[in-house]
Amino acid sequence: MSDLLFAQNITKQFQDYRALDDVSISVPPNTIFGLLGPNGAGKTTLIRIINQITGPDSGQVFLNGEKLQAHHISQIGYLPEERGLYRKMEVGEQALYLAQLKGLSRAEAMKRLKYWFEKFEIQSWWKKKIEELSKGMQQKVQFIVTVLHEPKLIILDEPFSGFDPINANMIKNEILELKQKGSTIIFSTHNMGSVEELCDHIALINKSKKILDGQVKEIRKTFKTNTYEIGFEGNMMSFTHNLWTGAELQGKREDDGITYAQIKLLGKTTINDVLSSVLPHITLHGLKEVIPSMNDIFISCVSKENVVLSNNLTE
Amino acid sequence: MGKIGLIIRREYLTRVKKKSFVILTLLGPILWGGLIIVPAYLNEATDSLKQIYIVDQTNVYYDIFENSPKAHFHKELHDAPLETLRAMFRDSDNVYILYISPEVLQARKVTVFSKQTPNVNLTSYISITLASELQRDLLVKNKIDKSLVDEYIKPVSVTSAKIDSAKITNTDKLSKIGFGLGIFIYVFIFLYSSQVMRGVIEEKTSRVIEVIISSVKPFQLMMGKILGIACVGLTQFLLWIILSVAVITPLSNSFLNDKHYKEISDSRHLTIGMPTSATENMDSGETASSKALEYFGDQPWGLIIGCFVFYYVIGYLLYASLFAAVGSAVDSETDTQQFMLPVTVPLIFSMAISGIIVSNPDGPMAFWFSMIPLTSPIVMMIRLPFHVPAWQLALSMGMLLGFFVLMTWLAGRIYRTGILMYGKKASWKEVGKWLFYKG
Repeated sequence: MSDLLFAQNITKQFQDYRALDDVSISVPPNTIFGLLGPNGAGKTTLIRIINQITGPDSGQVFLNGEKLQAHHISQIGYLPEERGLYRKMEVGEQALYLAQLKGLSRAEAMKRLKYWFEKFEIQSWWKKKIEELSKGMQQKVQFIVTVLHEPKLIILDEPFSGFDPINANMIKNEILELKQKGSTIIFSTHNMGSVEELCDHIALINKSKKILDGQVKEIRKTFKTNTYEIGFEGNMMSFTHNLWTGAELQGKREDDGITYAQIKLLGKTTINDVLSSVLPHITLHGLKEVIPSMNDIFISCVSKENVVLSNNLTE
Repeated sequence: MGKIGLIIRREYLTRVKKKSFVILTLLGPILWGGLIIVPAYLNEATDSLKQIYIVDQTNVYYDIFENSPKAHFHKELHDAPLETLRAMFRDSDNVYILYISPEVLQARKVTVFSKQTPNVNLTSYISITLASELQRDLLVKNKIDKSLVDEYIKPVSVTSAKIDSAKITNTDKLSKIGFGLGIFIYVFIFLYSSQVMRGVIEEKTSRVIEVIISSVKPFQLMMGKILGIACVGLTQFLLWIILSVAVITPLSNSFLNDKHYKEISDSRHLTIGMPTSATENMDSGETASSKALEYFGDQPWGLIIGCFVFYYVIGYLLYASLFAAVGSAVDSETDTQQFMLPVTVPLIFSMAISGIIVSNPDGPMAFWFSMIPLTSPIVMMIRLPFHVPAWQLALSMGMLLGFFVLMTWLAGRIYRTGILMYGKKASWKEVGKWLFYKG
C-alpha cells in the first residue's frame, strides 16, 4: 500500500442524517490533495475522522499503511475551518503550548518557533496577546502552529479564507514548499482557482457520497468537450458561412477588434479541417483548446447529481 | 509532562497570572477583614462617649453609677435644679440628664432628658443598677441585716450545658463548624465550577477547541481544565487564609483585643450591671487564637477533615463536570440559563435547608439529603460534627463516588459532541441524543 492516507468505505451517521456514505479516498505521498464539495457535503466530518476527533460508524483509515491510532496525532497537522486561538493568551506561550500538545518538547518547539517567526518576520509579536492581532496575523500564527511539528500529513480546511491576496500568496508558496520538503497535504476549499493551481489529485464529495476523484489533469481531460477558441480578424459572417458542417459555433466575444469564436467539433472532425475551411477568409490571431476549469467541472457534477437526485425523488 | 499535565499547567498559569486573580486574592482578605472591622468601627464611631449629668433630689443614689469608656457620669451638679441643666444642655450632643425624683423608691421611675434618644445599653444599665440599689435600700429599711442583703442581691451568672454528653456540650458550636465547612464547599463549587463552564464556552466561541482536540481527547481536555481550575481555587483559598491571618492577627491583637473585646465586656458590664470586679474572668485577657483553640479543640478533627477533603474534592469534580457539559452545549454564557437551573438547584437547595439540618441533624430531611449525591457534599458536612453513624457516612460517600463516575462519564459524552456544535442552540432533546453518538 503506497498511499500515505487511505480511508476505506467510511460511513458516519448522525441520528437522522448520514454525513458520509461509503466514502473512500486515497492520498498518494508527497502530493497535494483537494477535498472538494459544496457546503454540508461531509468534508469536515471526513477530516474530523482522519484527525480522530470523531470515529466512523464503519470503515477504516490507514496512515502509511497502519491503522489510524492515537500516536498518529503527532504526524498530522490540522488547520480547521472553524479556527481560533485563546484570545487572552500571548502568541509565543500559546504556540509553545499547542506544539507541546502535539508532542514536541518545549526546547524543540522554541527552536522551531524561532525559525518560523523569523521567516514570517513576526518576532515582535511574541509577547502580544492574540486579541491584539488582526485576523490575518492570527491566521499566520495558526498556520505556523499547524506545521510546526513537521507532520507528514497536513490537513488544511479552507486555508485561504481570511487572508488578503498578499498573505494568501505567501501561504500558497508555503504549501508548495512544504510539499517540496516531502509533506502530503489535504486541502479542502471552495476556491477552484487554487485547486487548479495547487492540487495534484482531488475528490469531490456531494450529499455524503464521493462522486468524482482522480488526478486533476486527468479529470480535466475527461471533461473536455472538444471545443476550441479561434481568435481572428475578419468578417464574422463569412467565418460562420464557411464553417465546416462538422463544427458548431458555441459562442463568440470581441476584444479590441479581434473576434474569439468557440467552436465545438462534432463527430470525427478535427481542428485542422475547420481551420483549412475558414483560413482563406480570416486573419488568424490565435488558437487554443478549451479545457474545462475545475469550477465548471464542480458545478456540472454537483448540479447533475442534484438533478438526478431530485428526479429519483419525484419518480 | 503528559498531555493532561500540560493542560492543567496552562489552565492554572493563565488564570493565576490574570490581573483579576491577583486583585481578587488581595481584595479577599480585605473584604473578610472589612466585614469584621467595619461594623466594629462603625459601632465605635457612632457610640461615642456619653456625658451623663445626674440630678438627684434624693441625694442618695447619685454615687452608685460607675464610669465606663462609653459613659461618663457627672455627679458634681447633682443638687442643681433640673431646669437649669435642661436650659444649659438644650443643644448639646451626647449629653444626658438623669433625673432622680424624691419619690423614686415608691414610683420606681427615673427620667432621662436629652437631645438624642438614649440607647438601650444606657437605659438598661441605669435601670439595673438603680433597681438593685433600691432593692438593697428596701431590704435594709425592712430591717434585714446588711451583710445578708449583699448576699441576697448578688448577680447570677448563666452558662449552658448539654444534657446527655460529657464530651461535647455546645450545639451552637457544632452547627457553626458544620455550617462553616458547608459554606466553604458551596462557595468553592459555585466560584470555580462556573469558571470551568466559562472556560469551556471560551474555547468554543474562540474556536480554538478543534485545534486542541485534534491533539488530545476531549475527555482529557475536560479533566485537565477541571483539575487546573481546582488548583487555581486551592491556591486562591490558601492565599486568602494566609493573607487573612496576616491581616486579622495584628488587628485582633491591637484593635480587637484592646478595644473591641473591652467594649464587649464593657457593654456586658453596662447591661448586666455587674460590678467591674466580676468581669475579670471574661475574654479581655485571652487572645483570639487561644480562644479559638479552646472553642474547637474537642472535635474529632481527623474524621471531619478527612470527610471534608473527600466531599469537597468529589463534590467539586462532580459539579465541575456538569458545568463543563453545560458549557459545551451552549454558544454563549447568556444561553446557559435553561441548563444551569437543574445543576444549581440542588446546590442552592442544600444551603437553603441547612437551617433545618442544624436544628434536627438526625431527622429524615438531614438523612435523605445527606444520602442524595448532589446535595450530600454540603448537607453531610453540616451534619458531620453531630456524630453521624458510620454506615450512613459510608453509604453517602459510596453513592457520591458512584454517582460522580456515572455523571462524569455522561458529561464527557455531552461535552465531546457539544464542543463541536457551533451556532446551534441545543435543546434538552438534542443533548439527550448526544449521549448516544458513537465516539
